[in-house]
Order: sequence, then structure tokens, then C-alpha cells
Amino acid sequence: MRRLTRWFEERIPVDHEVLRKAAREPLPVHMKTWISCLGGTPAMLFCILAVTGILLTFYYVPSPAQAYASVSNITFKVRMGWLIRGIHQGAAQLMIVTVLLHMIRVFFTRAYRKPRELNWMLGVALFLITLTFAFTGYSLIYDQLSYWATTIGTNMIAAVPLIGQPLLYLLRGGPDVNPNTLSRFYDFHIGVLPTMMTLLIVAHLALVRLHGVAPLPEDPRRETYPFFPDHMLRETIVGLLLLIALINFVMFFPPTVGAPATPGNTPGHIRPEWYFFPTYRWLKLTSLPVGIWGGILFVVGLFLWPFIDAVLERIAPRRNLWVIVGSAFFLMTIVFMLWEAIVG
Amino acid sequence: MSVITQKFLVGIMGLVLLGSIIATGYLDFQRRKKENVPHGSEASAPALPLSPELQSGLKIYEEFSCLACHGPGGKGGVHNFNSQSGQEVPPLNHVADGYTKPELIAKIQTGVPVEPKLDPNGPEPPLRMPGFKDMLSDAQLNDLIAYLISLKPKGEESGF
Repeated sequence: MRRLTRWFEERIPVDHEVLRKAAREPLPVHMKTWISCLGGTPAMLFCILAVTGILLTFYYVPSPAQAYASVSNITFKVRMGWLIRGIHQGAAQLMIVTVLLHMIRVFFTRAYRKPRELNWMLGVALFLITLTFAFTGYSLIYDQLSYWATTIGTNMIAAVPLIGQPLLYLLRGGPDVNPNTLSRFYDFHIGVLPTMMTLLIVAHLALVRLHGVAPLPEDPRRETYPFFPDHMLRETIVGLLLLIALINFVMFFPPTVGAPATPGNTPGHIRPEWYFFPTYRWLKLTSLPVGIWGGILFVVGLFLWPFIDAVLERIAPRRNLWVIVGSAFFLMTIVFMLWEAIVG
Repeated sequence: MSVITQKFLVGIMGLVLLGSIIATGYLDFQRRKKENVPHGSEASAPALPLSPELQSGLKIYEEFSCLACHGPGGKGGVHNFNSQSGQEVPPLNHVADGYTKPELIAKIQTGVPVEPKLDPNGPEPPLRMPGFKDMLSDAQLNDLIAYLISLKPKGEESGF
């Protein structure tokens, strides 16, 4: 064993002391809470999604004639296919939840402030990619609901000013939802988005390491603890817990498929997945142009929030406007989501 | 929570995870047994649903016993002693390459009255193709030909 280690050490000339130091990076003691593990959780879920996603591609056929049949085949015939699909579906939903919780934590601890503005923007980009992942993945099932959700979802893109029409054409591969659309969504889902996400996660983590974890405002404690093994173990526990929960959830609630997609027959009640409920309710409350502009402003505002916060701080230094704005948006999102879920 | 406790928790959770995976494997086994899922049925997705024209063509292919000699999917393989076509009834899954539509119509209508012999001094090949001139309508002929052309294995289409 020792000879093997030496063999590798000779061929990979890296100072091991540097690696050891990097692994034992000191973290502020406030990170010892379980909620602080939320940053690493989406990364772990992404790994679970990548592995289960690769397994699903072994049987999934991205053609309109066979997509539905292949999903049904995975769900009902492929050995353990229901489990893999169920974990993939569940992990995707959990990823959205954990990314949102992580963003809420970062927001309310103001960890986005100088010099970490760029990392907040990378985080927002990762959040948007996560939602795009969910949208493209849901479309691949090719049952009635997923087909019509794709049709309506992409219709909305057309209303985006300037780039709406070309973007719609790029996504659909034509003016309407057609066989090209499924191939393109599949390409995005298994190629473009994972590449973008991997690169952004690496950049996001690199910036966290370079700046160090943001200290809590008004926390006098200066003690630290090492990332490895203390924090790493905590993250592993969370990851294992999630995986166990997912497997057991799928065991009791295995995935199903709805009626196959029928392009000429619009179902009576089309609704997106729960994570788009706030947007859907917002669009129902306003006209399409107002809804789209509102959505664009929200995304731009979210991206530039660290700078907006700095301006608000300068205008009214002691008013804590960031708490008011953040809480208002948070409450509005929850209200819209519940409203759509209950009233529909 | 100390590092030792955390390590202990990781170990316990690893065991729970392993137990969960074994439980799902058992559940899967039981379900497949109960629903009588045939072994290896997951090997490929269900066959592509055929268009009405191809479905009609397939029906004619089966009803007029083309299937009996040319095999399922026109893959051939039925032995025909001393016939020039490799002593087998020729497969039909490549007719799209060797015949035009009028040639196929002519072939189906007239059949092969005399099956050419591999060894001129040998016996007559036992199987020969009958003509279907008065047995198939034009529409049926069209459907059958569409079906035969569709038998060309996927991935062998020319072009990009």
C-alpha cells in the first residue's frame, strides 16, 4: 500500500501539505448548524441526479413516437426502473427546495455583500438553471400534462421582448411544438444544462473557498473548526439521510405515467409543476406583457440584489430595507404558491 | 456533536441505506413475479406504433401468408432446398434497395412461377412464390408495398 502511495506521489507532484491544508480549511463556528449544510446539499443532489439520469438514458428514447412508451417501459418493466425514475424525480424536486432554502439563508444572513456579489450572481444563475432542468425534464415524459405544459411554457417565451421569437424557435426547432422540440429539450437536459451547471458549481465553490465562508453579522464568536472531517461528515450525514428518505418515499409512492400526449386534444385542466405555481399565479393576475416584464424585472433584481441592497443601505442606513424587501417577496411567493395550489 | 458521533451516524446511515436498497430489490422482485413481467422484456422499448397504412400492410402480410415463407419482419430464413437464393426463401427487408414500386407490384402479382434451381440436375425447390394478381386490390397492394419498404432496418437510411 505504501509503495502504491509513493508510486502515485512520484507521478502527481503536488505538495501534499497544501492539499491537507485545503481540506482542513477553517470554517466559522456558526456553520456548525444543520441549516448551514444546505449549500452542499444541492451539489450532492446534483450528483444523485447525474447518476440516475445516466441510468435513465439507457432506456429512454427521445422521439415523439417512442418517448411515452419508453418512460412507461422504464416505470413498469425495466428492473428497478421505477426506483431510478422515482429517485430522479424526487431528487429534482428536493434540489429546487434546497436551492431555495440555501438562497433564503444567504439572503437573510446578507452573505451576498461585498466582496461576494459575484458569487450571489452565480448562485442565481444556478437557481435558474435548476428550474430550466426541471422544465426540460418534465417535458421528456411526453404524457398529456407534460406535453401541454411544454406547449404553454414555450408559448410564454414568445412574449419575451426582442429575443422571444428567436428563443422560441431555438427551443422548439420550429414555430410549433414538433418532433424537433423533444430532441432539443433532451439535448438541453442531458448535455447543455449539466455542462453549464457543473462549470458554475465549480466556480461557485471556488469563490466560496477563495473568500472563505461569510461571517454572520453581529456574531462576536471568532472560533473556527476544520472543513475535513467535521463539516464533511455533517454533509455526508445530510446526503445519506436524503438518499434514504428518497428511496423509502419511492418505495411507498412509486412513479406513474399519465395518458399519452395527444397533440390535437388539449386537456381541460393544465397546470405546471408546483415550483412554477407562483409564476403561473402571477401571470394569471396580470396581462401577459405585464407578467413577462414583471418576471424579467424580478430576475434582474435578484441578480443585482447585492448592488440594490448597497444603494438602499446608503439611502436609509438604519431602516433595514433589505429585510422588508426580502420578506415582502418571500411572503408574496408563498401566498401565490398556496393560492395556486388551493384555488388552482 | 463530536466527530466520533458523526462517524458513528454515517456508519448507521450507510447500513440503513444498504437495507433500503435490499428492500427495494426485494419489492421489485415480488412485483415482477406478481405481474408476470417476462425475463428480459425490458431489453428494448415497445415497438414503434405503426401508421394505419403500415398496420394494414402488416395485416395483409400475415393474412396472405407472406409471413409463413418470408418470416416475421421479412427477415427470411425459411429453408428452400436447391433454390438459387442461397437455398432459402429470400428476405424482404431490403426490397426498398433492389426494386422500384412498379417492379414490386409486378413481382407480387405474377409471383415466381418457376423457382430457379441451384443445381440444374437437382430436384425442384419445394417452395415457389404464387401470384396474387386477382387476390389483392390496388389499395391493399399499396399498403403491402408500403409495409415492405418500411422493413428496411433503421440506421441504414442513406444521407445524414
